[in-house]
Amino acid sequence: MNLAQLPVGDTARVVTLSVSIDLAQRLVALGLRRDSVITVLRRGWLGGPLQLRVGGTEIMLRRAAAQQIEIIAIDMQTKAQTATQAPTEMNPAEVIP
Amino acid sequence: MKRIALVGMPNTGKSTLFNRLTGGTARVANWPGLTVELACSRILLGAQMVQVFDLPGIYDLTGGAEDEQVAQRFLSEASLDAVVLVLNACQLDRQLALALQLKALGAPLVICLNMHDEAKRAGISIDVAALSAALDAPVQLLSAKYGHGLAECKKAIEGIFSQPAQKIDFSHIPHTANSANLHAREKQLFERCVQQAPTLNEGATARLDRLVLHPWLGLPLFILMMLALFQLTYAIGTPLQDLLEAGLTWFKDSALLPATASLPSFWQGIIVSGLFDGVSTVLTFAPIIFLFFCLMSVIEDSGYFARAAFMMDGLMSRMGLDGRGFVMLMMGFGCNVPAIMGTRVIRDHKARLLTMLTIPFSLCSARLQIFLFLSGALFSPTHAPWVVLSLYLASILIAMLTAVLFKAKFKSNEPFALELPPYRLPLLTHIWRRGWGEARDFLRLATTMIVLGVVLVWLLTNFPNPQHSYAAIISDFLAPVLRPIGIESTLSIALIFGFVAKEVVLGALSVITGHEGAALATQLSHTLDPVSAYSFMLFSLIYIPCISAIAAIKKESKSNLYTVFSMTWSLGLAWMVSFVFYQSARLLGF
Repeated sequence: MNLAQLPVGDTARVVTLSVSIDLAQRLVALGLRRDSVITVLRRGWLGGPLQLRVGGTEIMLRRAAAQQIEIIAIDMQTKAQTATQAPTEMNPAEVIP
Repeated sequence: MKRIALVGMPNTGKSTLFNRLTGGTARVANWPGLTVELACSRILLGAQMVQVFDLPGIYDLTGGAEDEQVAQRFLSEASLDAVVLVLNACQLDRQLALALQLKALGAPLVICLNMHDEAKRAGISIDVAALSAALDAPVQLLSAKYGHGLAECKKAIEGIFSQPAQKIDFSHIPHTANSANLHAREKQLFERCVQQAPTLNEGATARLDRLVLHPWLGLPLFILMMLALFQLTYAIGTPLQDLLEAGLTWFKDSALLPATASLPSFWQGIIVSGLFDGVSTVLTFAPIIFLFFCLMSVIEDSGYFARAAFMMDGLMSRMGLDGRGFVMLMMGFGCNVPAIMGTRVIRDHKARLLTMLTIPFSLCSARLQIFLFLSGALFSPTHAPWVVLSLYLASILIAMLTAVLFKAKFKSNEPFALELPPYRLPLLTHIWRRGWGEARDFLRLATTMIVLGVVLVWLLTNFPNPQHSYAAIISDFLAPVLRPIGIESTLSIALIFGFVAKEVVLGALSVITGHEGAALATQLSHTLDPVSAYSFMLFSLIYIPCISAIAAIKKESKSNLYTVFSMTWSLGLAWMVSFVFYQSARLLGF
């Protein structure tokens, strides 16, 4: 599964970054690395970029680049656990536009 | 003298700290071999004079982006007594690597954990002592925006002046993209020194985003914001401009004209109508540029700019531009000059050049005056609004066509992943400083060119004499070129005036025809028909915006070749579009 396929509001773990070296370096610096946990907050209209959250940072990334990022969706059970830990306001499911 | 540099990622408040340290007294300085100017200032720290450099924000010490290379080059060539690393305290999970890297290179490091106030609100607590011990460098909590922790930061910087100054050797640094080891250490350090609430308390930003980036509300909101920006700029700017103009006219009438009365008319003309009017042209731009950048600073600092770029990126990426370019194009509808200067947010040089190529086609408010007048004079009240609307559409289409045509030539190499910072309240001093700084830079860099342009146009239109001037000779000479697009000689002289500023075109027309206002409208409706009038408007829309815009293009691109290219493309395209329009309209029997 790649990052562009991840439904809005879902969380996943990054497996590989097969983007160009320059972009990989930028993403790594922005916190998007192997094993980092990433949430899709929103998709831009007209095939626009994705709004992602990684750690303490929110970034926008074009879909073409997102397709080159392999991920594993974090299953519902783990997500439920994180959701109970989090204050209810921050439940990622709520951020769906 | 001691020398220190501020280093940090974008959006860490590095420049805010710089302004706090220096009291906003920055000068731009050229470092030998660097293409980019660095902000630099001298301050008194304890008993020592210290030269402070603000390096461009960098994501990575090994990165290939222009800014990153500038920073690397500076760090490897300048002997530094201290490297002040500014980190965003909310994003230590990904920013500590920079500290580890710099430490490994042996930099005399002082670490400032900025935006401490935000981190505290987000429930992040940082073990400063442990971090300092692990990095073997002083670490200081800071809120540069509010000035908290500033004194301690200064002390920490002074504290490491006992070490000898050094250059940083980049020759053995491993590429970060492959250095899993570095990030493993970063993660370990982060987990050891930073405690964080299970999720960041970002409720306000998430809630605002739901509205601002709403699939249906987002766009109208963006348009509303842009309209508000124009309206505010002009609502405040126009009275300021009027005041300035009144003052300049007063000076001209009561001091300059009497003082030059004894001079031969040539010299009086060149001083009053050339030099002085040229300086007036530049000065009347200053309030607009000042206000525009004050508001721009609000939009950028608040975090809205990144959201606008997010919304428009899907559309713009197809044309080789990006969302930021669209915002600038929109700004161009107010005035091209600050919009061209504003493309500086696009860090990639080529992407910036492409955006700058499109902005002169934005139908600015000065051109709108001409179009409103001409469409009112030559079209019926029911048709006139559609004429103006069609010109707006033409403006957008031509800008986009230009981008599509040249996107292969100006291909961006920028890795496109932008940070969307949380919404923040902009700081008044920062807004003021930005507006003032941009206006000052514009005056400094564009004045000569604009004044020369105005003097040249004055010479052209007044010599050998106003009735048979060089401008008239040129327009006769150009007649074979302009007749096929329906532009007669009176109008082509007006186009030469339009080179100075589109605001003077109507004035020039009334001087040339000897009629003003309604009389000018009647006069024009006798000599022009709607087809040639529309052709003239199309030409005015597309050919060179004004001397100030050209000066801005030259200032920002730092290239004569590019400036000439941009002008040539505009002129050529203007002729082609008008030709196609005029000839096909005539062929169709209009």
